[in-house]
Amino acid sequence: MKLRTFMLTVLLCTLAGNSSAQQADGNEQQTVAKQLQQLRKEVIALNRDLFVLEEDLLFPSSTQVVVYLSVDVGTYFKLDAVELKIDDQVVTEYLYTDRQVDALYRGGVQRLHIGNLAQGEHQISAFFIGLGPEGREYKRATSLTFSKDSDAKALELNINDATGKQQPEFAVVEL
Amino acid sequence: MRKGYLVLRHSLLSVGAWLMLSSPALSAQKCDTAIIDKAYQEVLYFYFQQDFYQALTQFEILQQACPDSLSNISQPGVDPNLLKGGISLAYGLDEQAADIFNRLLTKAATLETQTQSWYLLGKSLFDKQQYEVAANILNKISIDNADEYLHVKDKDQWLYMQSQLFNWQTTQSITAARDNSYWLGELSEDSVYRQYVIYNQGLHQLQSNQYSAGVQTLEQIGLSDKSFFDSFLGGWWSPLTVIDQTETDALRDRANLTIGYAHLKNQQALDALEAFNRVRLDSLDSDSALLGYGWAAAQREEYQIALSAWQRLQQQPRSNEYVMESYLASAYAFEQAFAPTQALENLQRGLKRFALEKQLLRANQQEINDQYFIQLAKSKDWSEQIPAHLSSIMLSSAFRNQMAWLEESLTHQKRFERWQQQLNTFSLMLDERQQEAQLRQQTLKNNDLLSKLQDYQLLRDKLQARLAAATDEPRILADQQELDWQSRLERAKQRHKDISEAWLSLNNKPLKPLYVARLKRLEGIMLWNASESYAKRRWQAQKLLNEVDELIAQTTQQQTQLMEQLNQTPEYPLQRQRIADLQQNLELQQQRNQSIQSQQLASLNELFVEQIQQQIAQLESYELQAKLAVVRLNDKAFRKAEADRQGAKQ
Repeated sequence: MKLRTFMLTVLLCTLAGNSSAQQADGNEQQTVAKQLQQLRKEVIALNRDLFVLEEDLLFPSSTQVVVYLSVDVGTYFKLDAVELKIDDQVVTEYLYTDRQVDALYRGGVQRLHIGNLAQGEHQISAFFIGLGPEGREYKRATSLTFSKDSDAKALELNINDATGKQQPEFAVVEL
Repeated sequence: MRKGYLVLRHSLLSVGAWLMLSSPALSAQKCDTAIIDKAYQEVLYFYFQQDFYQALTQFEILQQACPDSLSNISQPGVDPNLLKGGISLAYGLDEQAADIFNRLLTKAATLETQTQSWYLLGKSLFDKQQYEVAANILNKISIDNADEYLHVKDKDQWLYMQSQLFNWQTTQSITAARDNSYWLGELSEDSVYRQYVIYNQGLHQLQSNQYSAGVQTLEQIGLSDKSFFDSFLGGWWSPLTVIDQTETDALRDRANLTIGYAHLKNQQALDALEAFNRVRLDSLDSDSALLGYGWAAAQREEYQIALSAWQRLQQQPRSNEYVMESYLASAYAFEQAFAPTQALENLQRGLKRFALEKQLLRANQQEINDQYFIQLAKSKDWSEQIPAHLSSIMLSSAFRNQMAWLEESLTHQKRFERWQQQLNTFSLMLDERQQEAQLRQQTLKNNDLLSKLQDYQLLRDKLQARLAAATDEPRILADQQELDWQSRLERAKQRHKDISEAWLSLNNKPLKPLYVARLKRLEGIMLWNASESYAKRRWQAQKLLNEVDELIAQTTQQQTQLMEQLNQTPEYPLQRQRIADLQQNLELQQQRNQSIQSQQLASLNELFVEQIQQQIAQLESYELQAKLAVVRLNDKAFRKAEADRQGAKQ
C-alpha cells in the first residue's frame, strides 16, 4: 500500500504543475530573458539604421519614386496579383498571399515598389489580376502620367469599391 | 554692341546653371501628414500580418524621421502609441511596452486608451508572474469599461487573468473583491478561457481539500460532450473549429484525469474508473489515465482489469514515469492475485527495462552537446524528432522555453551575418562610385566649357574698351537701324566718288556739288542723332556691362568651388562613417548574441543533464523498489517452502 500512496502523491503533484527545480532556475532565466529583450531592441534599431542607409544610398530623394498599394473595402474584388510598369518597363510583379490581402483589406498599405527615376515626365501603368464580382476572373489596368522633380515622388495605387456600379475601381494618385 | 552684351550674358548664365547642377543636391525629410499617414499604414500592413519585427522597425523608422509623428497621425482607430506598446509586448519587448503604457496612463488619454493600456500592462506583468502588481493594475478596469473598450477576446483574457489572480490571492490569504464565480459569469459563452477558469478553480478546490466541490467543478468540463454537429460533421467545415476542439478535448481529458485521481485518493474507486474511462486513448494524458485506471481497478480488487491496463501501458513505445511504474504496479497486482511467479517475472522484465533506459540516458548524456542543440533548434519541427526515452525531458516547458530562446538567438545570428554581407556590399558600392566619380572628374576637368570663362572675360574687356572709345565716337553705340543707315550712307558716298571719277576721266565738267551736300547733310543728321542718344545709350551699355561683371564674378566663384571639388577625391566620408558605425554596432550585437547563446547552451546542457540525472535517479528508485520486491517475494517463497517442509515433516 505504501507504494500506491507514494505513486498517487507523485501523480497529483505532477498534475498540479510547478516543480521547485524550475523555480530555482527562475532568476538565471530572467537574466537571460532581459538580455534577450535588450538584444531584440538593438536588433530592431540596427534594422532601422540599415534600412535608412540602404534607402539613402540606393534611392536618394532626388531620384526616388515610391509606389504604394491600398485597398478600400474590397467587396467586389479579391486581389491575386499586380504588375507594375514605369515607362513601359515592368518594375514589379507581385503575388499576394491571403494574409497580405487581409492586411490590405484591414487598412494596411503596402510599399509595392521603390526605385529611381530621372527628372521629367513619366508614365506609370498597373495591371490588377484577381477575382471580380461573382467570383469571375478579373483583370484591369490603370495608368497615370506624372512629372518627377528634384523631390522624392510618392504614388498610390488604389482599389476602391464603386457601390453604385457594384464594380471595383482602380486608380493611381500622386501623394 | 548691345547684342554682344546679351550673347555674353546668356553664355554666362548657361555656365552658371551647369555649375549649379554639378553640385550635390540636398534632400530634406518631409514630415507632412500624408507621408506620416502612409508610413503608419505601412506599419499596419505588417502588424495585420503579425510580422511584429517589421512593424516595430517601420515604427522606429517613422519616429526617427519625424520624432513627434505618432501624435500627428490622422488615421482613425486605436491610439498609435497603444498599438506600438501592444506590438512591443507581442514581440517580447515587455519593458518598452510597459514604458509606453505608463506614459499613456500619465497623460490625459481617453478612457478607451486607458482601459486598453491597463489591460496590456496588466497582461505583461501577469506573464512575468508579478501577480500582486498585475492584480492591482487589472483591478483598475471596471467591467463596464471592459465591455465597452476591450475586444471580446481581450475581455475574456482579462476575466481569465482575474480568476487566476483570485486563486493566487486565496493561496496568499489576500482578500479578493470578487471570486471565480463572478468572473466565470462574465465570460462569453463560447470562450475557451471558460474551460481553463473552471479547471483551475476545480484544481484549486482539490488542493484546498475541498474534494466534493472540486470534483463537481471539474465535472463541468469532464462530463461535457461534443456537440451533435461536432461529432456528426467532425469539424470538416472549419479548420479553426478543429483547433478549438483539440484544445477543448485536451482540457476535458485533463479534467477527467484529475477527477479520477481525486476519487482514487478518496477511495472512490468506481467513480475513479468512470473518470479515467472518459480520457481518450490517443490523448496526452492517456498513459497517466491507464496507470490510474489500473490502480482504481486494483482498489476494487479487480486485478485482471488492473493488469490488462498496466500491461497495455508496458507495450507503449514511450518512456515516461507512467510506463515505468506500470512494471511495479503489475507485480503488485500479480502478488495480490496470488501469482508470485508472474510477479517475479514482471519485476525481472521491469529491471531489464530500467537498466536499458538508464543505459540509453547515460549514452545520451555523453553524446549530447552544444552542436546537438544547435542542429535541433535549426530544424523546423524539432519536437517531432526527439527520441522516445528523451520525450519527457525535451517536452518539458523549461526545455522548450530554452529552445525557443536558442532558436531566436540563431535567427539573430543569421540576420547579423546577412547584414554584415549587406554592409560589405555597400562599402564596395561606395568604392565603385568613387572610381566612377574620379573618372567623371577627369572628364569634367577636360571639358572645354570651363576654359570658356576666360574667353568671355576677354570679350568683356573688349566691350569695355569700345565703351570707352564711344566718348570720342558716339556712333559706336548706334543701334542696328542706325548702323544700317550708316552703311547705306557709306555705300552712297563711295558710289558718288566712283561715278565722279569716271565722269572726270571722260573729260566732262565736274558734277554739281548738290548730291555731295545732301550726303553731308545726312551724315550730319546721323551724327546729331547719335550725339543726342549717347548719354542714354552709354548708361544702358554700362548697366549691361555691370550685370555681365556680376555674372562673371558669380561664375568665377562657382567655377572655383567646382574646381575645388574636382580636385578633392570623392571619398563619401559621411556614408562610410555610417557604414563603419553600423559595422561596429553589428559586431557588438554579435558578441552579445554569442554570449547569450553560450549562456543558453550552458543552461540547456545543465537542464538536460539535471533532468537526465533526475530520470536516472527515478529509474534507480524503481530499480531499488523492484529489487526489494524481488527479495521480498523470494523471502516469502522461501518461508512458504519452509512452512510447507515443516508441515510435511509434522
